[in-house]
Amino acid sequence: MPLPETLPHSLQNAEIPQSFSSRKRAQETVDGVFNENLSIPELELQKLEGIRELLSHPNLQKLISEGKITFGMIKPQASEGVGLPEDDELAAQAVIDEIGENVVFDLPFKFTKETAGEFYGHLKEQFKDKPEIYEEVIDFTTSSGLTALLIYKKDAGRTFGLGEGQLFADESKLLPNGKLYIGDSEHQLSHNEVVFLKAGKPIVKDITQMSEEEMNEFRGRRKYFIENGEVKVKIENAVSWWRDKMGDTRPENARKNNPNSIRARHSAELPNNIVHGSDSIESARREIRILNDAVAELIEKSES
Amino acid sequence: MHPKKRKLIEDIKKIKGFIRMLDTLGEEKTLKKNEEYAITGDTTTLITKR
Repeated sequence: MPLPETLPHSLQNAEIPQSFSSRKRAQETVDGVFNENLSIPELELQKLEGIRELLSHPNLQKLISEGKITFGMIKPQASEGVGLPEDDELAAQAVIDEIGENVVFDLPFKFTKETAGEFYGHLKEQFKDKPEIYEEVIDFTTSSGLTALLIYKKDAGRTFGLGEGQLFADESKLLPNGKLYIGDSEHQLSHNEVVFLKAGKPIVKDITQMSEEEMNEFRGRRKYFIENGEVKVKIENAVSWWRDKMGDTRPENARKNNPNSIRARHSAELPNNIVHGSDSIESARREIRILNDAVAELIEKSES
Repeated sequence: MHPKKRKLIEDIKKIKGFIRMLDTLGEEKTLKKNEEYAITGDTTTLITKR
């Protein structure tokens, strides 16, 4: 069967099977046949155009507002990280593999001074008395290629039952009836108490006694609470989840507070703490917009 | 196939899949009164309460 004339030249000889076991299979197979006939630069452009379509999708803003999406980055010179491969691209891929299925896409690209200035503009104000810090960050960020990440936490903000119970990173355990076992001690969760999850470990807080500072610290984190005699769990938002996975900004604090985090295990010297993550939902929205602008510019350059 | 090409094809498939998910956002299953999602570790399952 002849292919439509509007197809790219490279697809004119593509052989497309005529029947499939399902529509989904048909879609995947046809996509596969089309993709395999494209060259690497053509596929790179197709990926960029896909990312542009995704980042411009009106429903993405809804997911960002719901805390289900955040922006992440694997910084330049990833190969300097402890325990990572000596090649930047392989080192970045090793970190992406650690993050797992929550990565929607990874995009290697390079910041211009102008884009880096827009991205880290808030640091200029924050360190106005120490402009060398801002300059160091800009120099480092533009020193070589980096990898942008879009991170998706599907169940963020939703409330679940506890199933058979929850075992935490420090081997403490919470049962559906509210009994919390930490080491040799047993604690019955009351209606005023909430268990927050920080660095994979449970922290019990009386919500009537929490300061505003504590409220801010735990905002968006995973929490367990009693409702009608049963423990419910509200899943953390993508911003908190990714920041917890990254660990503290300063590598020494990450090693102390969250030894399993990416920064604790892989950081080199600052400013190369290997990964970046948006610090709030609003920052995620801003950083994703900057990425979208950069992608649009890359597509324009590729096509010209 | 060149590994870089294979990765690009996988990336494009994942991006297209996510766009399809964005297209259908808002059409999620509505839970019945006696249904609830339960979580064990990182796995979520739909359970029917008695």
